[in-house]
Amino acid sequence: MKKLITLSIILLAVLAGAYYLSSYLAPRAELNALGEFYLRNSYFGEHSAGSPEVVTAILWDYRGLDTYFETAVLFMAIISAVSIFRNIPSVSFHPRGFTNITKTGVKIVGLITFVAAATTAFHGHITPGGGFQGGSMLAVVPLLVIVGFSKKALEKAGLNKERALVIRTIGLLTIALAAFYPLLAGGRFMQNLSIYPKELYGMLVSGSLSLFNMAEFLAVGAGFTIIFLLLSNPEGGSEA
Amino acid sequence: MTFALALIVSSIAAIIIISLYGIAVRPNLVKKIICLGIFSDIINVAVILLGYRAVKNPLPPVLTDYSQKGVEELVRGAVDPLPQALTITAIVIGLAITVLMAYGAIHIQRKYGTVDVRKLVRWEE
Repeated sequence: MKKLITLSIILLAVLAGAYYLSSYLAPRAELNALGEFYLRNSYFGEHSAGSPEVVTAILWDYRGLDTYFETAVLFMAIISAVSIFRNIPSVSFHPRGFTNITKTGVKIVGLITFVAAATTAFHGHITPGGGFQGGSMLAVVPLLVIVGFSKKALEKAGLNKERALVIRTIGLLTIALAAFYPLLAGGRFMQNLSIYPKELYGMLVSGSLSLFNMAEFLAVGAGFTIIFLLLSNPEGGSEA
Repeated sequence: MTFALALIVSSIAAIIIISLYGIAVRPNLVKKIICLGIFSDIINVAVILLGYRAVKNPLPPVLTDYSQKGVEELVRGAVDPLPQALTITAIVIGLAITVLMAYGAIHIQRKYGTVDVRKLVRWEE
């Protein structure tokens, strides 16, 4: 009871402090200089990234180096998870499975989710979205199949841990090559326009932005697929 | 200052305190991981709030009218794009780190049969 009183006093003090602070934290009407620079230069302007989507332009062009190493952190986290689970064999068991209603529903929703994920990633340089968001949506599809059918059904369809690892490596290699290529062409690391074309066959590709988005889509989607495949090992997988 | 803003800031502060309490005091490892997820999400909300603008009908930072007039309209009404770009990376990193911690918890459960920190360090004996 004494603990509860202390806690509620702390909580009340925090709430009062926040109420007092919020008058200073009020959103301003004017933009700060950096944000205005990004908004003005993203599509037109002298330092253009060639993309009407300002967030993607910051992510892969103006702050490209940050995102490059952030992808490296993602790589390390998934690699460490895979190496922890290296020696644990998977145990197969035979449940009876769901009804046909569930299975058909999983098929329909899975297809729609896949299409939505691909749209989000491939239009990431025009509309809100991008490789990270699309990849996270893509990873939901194997999870749905694992829950609705089984892990074995996914592996029988050809998507096992090794293949997902290969897809993820292809995505990461594409990012690395596309980041290093401007150095060979006489530019700077991760330079976008004037090394990569702004338009390709009349389509707006925003230089390397759409390429990065597609590669990140594959890398994030396949990376989280590996995670879900490992996590769906049945209980007692280590007993074998 | 409006009432809505005060409400948002107070709830952000309250959720930060509650999630820190969960991380520090709850003995269950899974609950610690959940509280850490809540903590990182509420920090993302605070960062997004910093980029908000007090103009009438704020726009998302996406150019829809490909002309100089469209750019002027964007500069007049669009929210700050930088916090949003930072938040995207923070969310994906947070997901990867959460997965890694969940793996740790699963392994501890399989090896020791519990995720209670007090039992893991044998406080009860």
